[in-house]
Amino acid sequence: MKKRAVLHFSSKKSQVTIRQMLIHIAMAALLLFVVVLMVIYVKSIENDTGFQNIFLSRDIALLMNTLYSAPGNVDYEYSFNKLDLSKFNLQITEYEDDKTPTIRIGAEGMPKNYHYGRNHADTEKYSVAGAKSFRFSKSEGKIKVSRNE
Amino acid sequence: MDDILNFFRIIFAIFVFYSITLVANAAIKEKIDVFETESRLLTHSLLLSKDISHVDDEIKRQYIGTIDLEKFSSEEFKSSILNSIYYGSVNSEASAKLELEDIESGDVYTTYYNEPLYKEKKVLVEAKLIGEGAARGLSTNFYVLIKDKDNIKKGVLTVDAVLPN
Repeated sequence: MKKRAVLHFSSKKSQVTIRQMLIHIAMAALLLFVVVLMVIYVKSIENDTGFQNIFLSRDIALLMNTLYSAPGNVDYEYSFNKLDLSKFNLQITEYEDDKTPTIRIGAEGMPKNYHYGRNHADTEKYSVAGAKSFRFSKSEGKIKVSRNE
Repeated sequence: MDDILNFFRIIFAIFVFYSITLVANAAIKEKIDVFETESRLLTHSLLLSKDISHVDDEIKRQYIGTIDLEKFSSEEFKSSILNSIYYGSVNSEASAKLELEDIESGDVYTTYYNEPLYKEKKVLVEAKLIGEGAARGLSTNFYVLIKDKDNIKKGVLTVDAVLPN
């Protein structure tokens, strides 16, 4: 008669084989592994800058529209208390094919683009990185973008 | 039997984890709707534009809210306003219809910002379609003055901005 390894407990009903116990331990370890993965995933969402890239691209595009439509000269400092802008690389550029003026902004990962309406005569492109705030200066219908020191 | 049950338990655990990630992804808002702000900006950009406003010849002062009827009615306005609010060689981002009504005489003058896109997308706005490929519109009225040669008259400028989604 084949003998099975059995763990003895006080009650006969609670007697389990070692194999069953190992399986239970493995299931508990798998559950723990799944929980740890979920926590890591949630933390990664918290650190993800995708939403911030989308927000900043739209916000700065609307700012550019506002500055172009404002009469006269304008000097504007763009900063955020709750966001570290030095992580973001800002580009004032345009699409190659149809020359649509574009704000491109990105931290780690994919940069996000958004269009804006500029003065046709203002063709300057800018790239600003590592700045805690940006400076937008409008003079004679043209906007200059720089780091705000 | 136990092995089969354990196998299904593992499958179930994977399914639960995948479902949680799907729900989390669905809850994360990645689309920010800026239509209303963008369309109001376009409307005010048109109103504040030198291409539409009366500009004094001597002192070069722009009178915002005073529409130069000669500029408004000219064919050059359509190309000059496209250069003032430039969205690329093929503008597929914004369009508007401008209607200027002389309150005293009842005359109505009409011009466009990006007329081809406006006529293409206005149909979609009226059909109240939503989603990608559709469009939304915002109509705004302004009380303005109309400078018709040496006469100043009261008028209403209606800007109907149409922006694709």
